[in-house]
Amino acid sequence: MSKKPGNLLYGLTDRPPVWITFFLALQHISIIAIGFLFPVIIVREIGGSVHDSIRFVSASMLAGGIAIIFQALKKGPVGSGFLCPEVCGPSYLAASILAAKTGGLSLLFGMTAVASLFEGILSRFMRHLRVLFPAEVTGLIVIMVGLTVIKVACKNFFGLGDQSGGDISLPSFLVASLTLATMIGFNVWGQGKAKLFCALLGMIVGYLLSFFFGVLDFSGLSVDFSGPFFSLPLAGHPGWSFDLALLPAFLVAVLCSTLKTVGDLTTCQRINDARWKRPDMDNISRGILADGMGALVAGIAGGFGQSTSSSNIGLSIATGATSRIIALWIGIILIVLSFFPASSVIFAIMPQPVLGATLLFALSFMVVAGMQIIMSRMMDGRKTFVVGLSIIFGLSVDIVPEIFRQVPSWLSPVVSSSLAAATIMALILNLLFRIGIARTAVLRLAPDSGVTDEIFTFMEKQGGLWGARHEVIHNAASAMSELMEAIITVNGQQAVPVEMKARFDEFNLDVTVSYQGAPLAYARSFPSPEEMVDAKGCAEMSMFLVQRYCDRLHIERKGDYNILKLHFVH
Amino acid sequence: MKIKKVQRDGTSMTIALEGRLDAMTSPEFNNRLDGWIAEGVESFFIDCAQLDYISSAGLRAMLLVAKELKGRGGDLCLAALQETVHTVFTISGFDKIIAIVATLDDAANATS
Repeated sequence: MSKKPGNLLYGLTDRPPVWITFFLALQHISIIAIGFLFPVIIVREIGGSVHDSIRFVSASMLAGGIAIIFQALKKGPVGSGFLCPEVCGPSYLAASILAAKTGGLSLLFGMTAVASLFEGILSRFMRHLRVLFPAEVTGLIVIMVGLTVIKVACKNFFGLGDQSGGDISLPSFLVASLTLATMIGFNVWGQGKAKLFCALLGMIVGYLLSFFFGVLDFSGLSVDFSGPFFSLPLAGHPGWSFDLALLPAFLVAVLCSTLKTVGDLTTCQRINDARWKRPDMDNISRGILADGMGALVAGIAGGFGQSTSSSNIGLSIATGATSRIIALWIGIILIVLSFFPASSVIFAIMPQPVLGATLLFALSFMVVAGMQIIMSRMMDGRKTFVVGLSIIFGLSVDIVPEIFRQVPSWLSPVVSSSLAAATIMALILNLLFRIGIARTAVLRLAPDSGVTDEIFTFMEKQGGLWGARHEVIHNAASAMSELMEAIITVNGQQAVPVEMKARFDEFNLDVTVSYQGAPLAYARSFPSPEEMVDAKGCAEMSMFLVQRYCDRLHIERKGDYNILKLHFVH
Repeated sequence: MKIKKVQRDGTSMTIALEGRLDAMTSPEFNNRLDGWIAEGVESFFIDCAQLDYISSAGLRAMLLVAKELKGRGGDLCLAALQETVHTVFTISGFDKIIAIVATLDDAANATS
């Protein structure tokens, strides 16, 4: 049973007043809308018409709306049950541009639909594949998604448009700075509603400033409103096609999207439960299936591949509102808007500096969320290299692109974006560095030495190698130390050698303790202060604590040996 | 484990513990505190912010000090416990026997 954290104003099952829910949904949609730029970018890349863009955006809205509702569901195998909005996923951008240039939009839609099936299949095996994406890999991907959007965010923030010739636009920079300052100001020092709507208030200030500084551009409106007022999102669909040669690029995109979703859903679990300890893999499986279904709807309807939005989760953290009902409102509003093509134009006129400021605001939370996921595990040299080298390799795609111009074509999907490069590198290094990690370690102790320090040093070293959680390692070390005190207590001054064997996998930590000598028994209750003075009371006190530290304790005797098996859920 | 004397104010003394209090280190803990009690200290405020672990032997050592002080009309008050250490006090029921406060300032306020 999860516990609502104190910093949440509206938790998962809370129902804010209708008007607050509406504006919170609107606030999320304003960030989701940033992703609608991707379909527009692709249509521009292939020289498509404005109406192609509008239809593409409308279908993406429909897919996103349905996917958000899927994600918020918590029945059957679909949906994580979280407010975890789905957007046009940046992971799909590079592969989608490639498909659109190769075979037009029909190929893009066909490939998106086929790739989504892969995500659906992957979702069924998440529990068994957990070894592939430990916390440092998923956290890294969340960070990388944030870092890959920096370019777009900064170009917009500083007003570096196609026509600017590389010069910073002072009015744009001013508007962006004040917009960001407003958002941050309301978030940090604001109370109640001001904090809740900090992003929306910042955007309103940004729009007003854009109007006064002449940054707000209405020129697109007259052209784009010439289309029909009401239209089915599927009308004018160019159909679907398939090209086997593009499959690797889309599989890499889906893999990145899936791993990012693991990170996003892990963040959702963490922010919604004060008692969160470890990723709930069943919940993640359902969330990934919802993600895949969103991408499937996008492929069928002719929209852009959908993926969970780290920026929106950042907004939820910033505002303290994670109520599931907000997700349903977002979904319904997007589905309704998808039938009114002109609505996409409203998103299209979002001024560049407001877009840039909003992205920077949301990305701050996303990058930190990624760091928190990484640091939830004990870091050692191996994990440091998995994270460090993957970030460096990923960023090198953007910083020194000339290195990657000569890679063979079959490798191009891997280096198509910094996100893909970092993800693949992290997966490879994670598997590589598993070589040589003994999953079993043995500690032999002579009870007359400083056993507590020895046990803690041993377990902390192994915990780092295994990438185990701090809390589990601390509990295990505490239980082992307590057990040693009990063994010493019942055996008196006689030194009894003790062997402790620790075995770790992604789900369990098992410690087997064996020694010859007087046996130990289960403690039924904590002894009273009067009972603590004798050896029996002391041993009972130790065993009581051992039983509380571990999730399961089994005591048996084999020949001359006492065997105690301690189990810890990881 | 390190035991640091922070300050003495008449019959009250503030000390800080650092490291692990277990079967090996608790005799030293008892000896040091018994020495100060013999010098006239009646109440101890113990800063546990740097205390990483306490075993059942450590709990027993704390209990002995608390009993001794109570017999002299004094108090034992623990402050700034780490979550893992606080949990041990809770599950053992020692939080009902020994006063535990969030900060050293709270301890001072509680006695004043």
